[in-house]
Amino acid sequence: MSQTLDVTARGGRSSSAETRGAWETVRWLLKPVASLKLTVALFALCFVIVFCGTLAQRDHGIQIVVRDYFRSAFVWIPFRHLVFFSVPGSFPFPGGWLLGALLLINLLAAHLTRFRFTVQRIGILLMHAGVLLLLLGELVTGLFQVESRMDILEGSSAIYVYQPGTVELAIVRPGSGGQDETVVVPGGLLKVGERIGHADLPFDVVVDEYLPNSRLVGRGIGNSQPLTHPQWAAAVPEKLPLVTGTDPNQQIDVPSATVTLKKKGTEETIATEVVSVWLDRIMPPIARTVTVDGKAYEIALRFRRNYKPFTIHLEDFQHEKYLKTNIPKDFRSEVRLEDPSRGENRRLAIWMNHPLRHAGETFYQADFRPDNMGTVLQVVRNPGWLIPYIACGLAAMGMLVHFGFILSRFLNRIL
Amino acid sequence: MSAGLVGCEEEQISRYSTPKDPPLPAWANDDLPRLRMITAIVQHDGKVWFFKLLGTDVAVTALSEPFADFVRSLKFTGNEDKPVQWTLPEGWVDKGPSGTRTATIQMKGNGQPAELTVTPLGPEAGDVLANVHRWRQQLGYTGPALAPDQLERYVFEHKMPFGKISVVDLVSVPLNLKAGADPHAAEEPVDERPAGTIPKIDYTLPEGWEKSERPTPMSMLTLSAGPAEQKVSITISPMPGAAGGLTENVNRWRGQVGLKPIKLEEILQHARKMVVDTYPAVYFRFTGPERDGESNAQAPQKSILVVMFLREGFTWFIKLSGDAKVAAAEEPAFIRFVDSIRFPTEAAEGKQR
Repeated sequence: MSQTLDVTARGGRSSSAETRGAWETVRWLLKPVASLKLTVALFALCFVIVFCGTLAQRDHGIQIVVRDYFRSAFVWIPFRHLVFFSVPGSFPFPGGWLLGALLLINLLAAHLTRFRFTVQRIGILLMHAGVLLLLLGELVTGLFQVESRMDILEGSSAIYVYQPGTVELAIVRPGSGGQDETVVVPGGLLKVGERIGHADLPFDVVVDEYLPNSRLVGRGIGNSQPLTHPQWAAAVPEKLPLVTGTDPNQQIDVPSATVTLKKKGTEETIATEVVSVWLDRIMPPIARTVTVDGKAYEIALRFRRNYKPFTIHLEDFQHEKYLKTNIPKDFRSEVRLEDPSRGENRRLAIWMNHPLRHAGETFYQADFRPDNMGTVLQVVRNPGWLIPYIACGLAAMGMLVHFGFILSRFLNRIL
Repeated sequence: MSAGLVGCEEEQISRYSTPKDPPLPAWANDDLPRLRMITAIVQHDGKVWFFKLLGTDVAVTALSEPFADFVRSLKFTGNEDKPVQWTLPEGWVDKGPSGTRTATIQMKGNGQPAELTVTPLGPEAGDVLANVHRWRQQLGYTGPALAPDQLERYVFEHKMPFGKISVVDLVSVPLNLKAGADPHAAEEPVDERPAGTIPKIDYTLPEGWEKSERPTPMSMLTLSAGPAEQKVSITISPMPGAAGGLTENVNRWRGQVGLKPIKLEEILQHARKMVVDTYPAVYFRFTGPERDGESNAQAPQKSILVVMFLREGFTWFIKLSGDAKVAAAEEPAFIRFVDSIRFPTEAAEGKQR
């Protein structure tokens, strides 16, 4: 019996020693990854990417910069961003996600190899947990956040949000019973000269011209802006340069296109139409109507829509300015939210810093339609919206604990 | 909702059912009249020339091509007596100089009257940004002041035989629905149109109505009607540009008869459409509450009847206000009076001269 016990004890020691050996190997392997020098180098690279990403907004809109510089593994940075004069070419650089992932690995490796758990180190651990969570939170936001907008005219309702910057060509067959049948062609498929055919499309679509940013101009000597409704319908698209992040008006690209509709599988032209997101954003919107095989279809180029199972009705919109100036002081939307799926029907107000949170989305007061005729809400769906709060809370708590220990040690010494 | 899944399939054609869009509010359906103003600005020989075409949107849209022909025909002669010459399109009538204007030209576009004015001013008037901002305010816009880089939305440059011109093309908000939110807009110079150019009108005075001995300020005509102790007052007031807008004005009138302010949607339900001469107009009738409280025992119930329309840069108000019973009795006469109003044609005006 004692022998057996002895053997077991020896075997246990041996297994423990093996584990320790393997762990030492892992630590040895992780040591370079856990290097503090690497942390400093990664931070330096982060400074460079933030600097270059900021400069890149001279040429591109903020969404493109965020996508290319901060939510990517690698980015090609033009030389001229760093030398401030015109030099052709660019060089590859780690993108935000790669740097974030390396920082994450660096931090975890440092904890695995160097840090030991002691009561005095709780503060440091909490702070690092906060940083870790912050990095993961950005990953969740980058992967899953959807930003949209909702326009509502005073006295009217909205049932969908749209995503500025993401375009679709919609072919709508107006139906009876309050429902329309819609086929959408994503903007990525709209390539000049290409023919788009699909079983769900009532005709083939050929894109003759596609302008990623445009304005519509009226015919005649003037080009009134805003155009009147009949002028919008007859207006022609004109190419504009792409919006950049340094645009003081923070505008967005508004595409227009000319499309030719052909009978399925044939060269027979049904119609050639100018479609534009401008025509979808004016009130009332203008859709081109074509008739194929006795059925009428409406064609519209628009920002991608996402229909909601609830309705927001704008009862009143207030836009206050500071006295004797045109500087906005406050925007406020008095709305009624009707959501039959949740049994909700209530009045509420949305104003600056007082968003509405509903069905996993947050509705912020963002803007107003021209001439104060309605509100524009920014609608954000972000499953990770709480993570930064928790992360900052953890980091704050960590600092409190850590500096609390230091203070108590100091006080013990002097008192 | 199947549409909610669209975001997951970015590059694929998809099909789904969607509810129809909710109806737009009545005012967004664009059936209310707007003004349109196209101004060609020419800087020549140290002067700034304004060729301003103004009328309803329908009229000016129909006239934009003939206006382009008119501008192309301009010739700067250098002659002090007749510094600029032009060729008038068919049907356009030059009524000659008045005040600071070199000419006032009248015409019709799509059956609706419009007016082209030619005004030379000094070089200090050549600030396009300031002009566009002021004209936009006149047309009912209350947004922030324009930044210089926003001008390209409104100003277009064209090359002509005599040099470069800037064309400013602006459209008013529909019936200036939400205008007037900025009370300081009124501090701006309202119009370069000299005083006294408000057109004369013809009308038939209903029986028992008479011109008031005490004209109301800001009104071109003040009448009174009804029994001596309870006379109601009738005024005609053309106000330049936005004139406060529909919501502001209606709620002010409602306040005058003791009613609470209402929202735009409700205002539109009160609006009855009518036509004054050839101009689309809206008609409102508001009667205050009966005063049965002790403190208000002496205050009579009041009514206000107003017809409002746009004509060539002015918002016109024809208003009857006073005791509710007298106003109700005079309402048929008021409608007949409004129906009788005519803006004289050239021949008729010639006779008056």
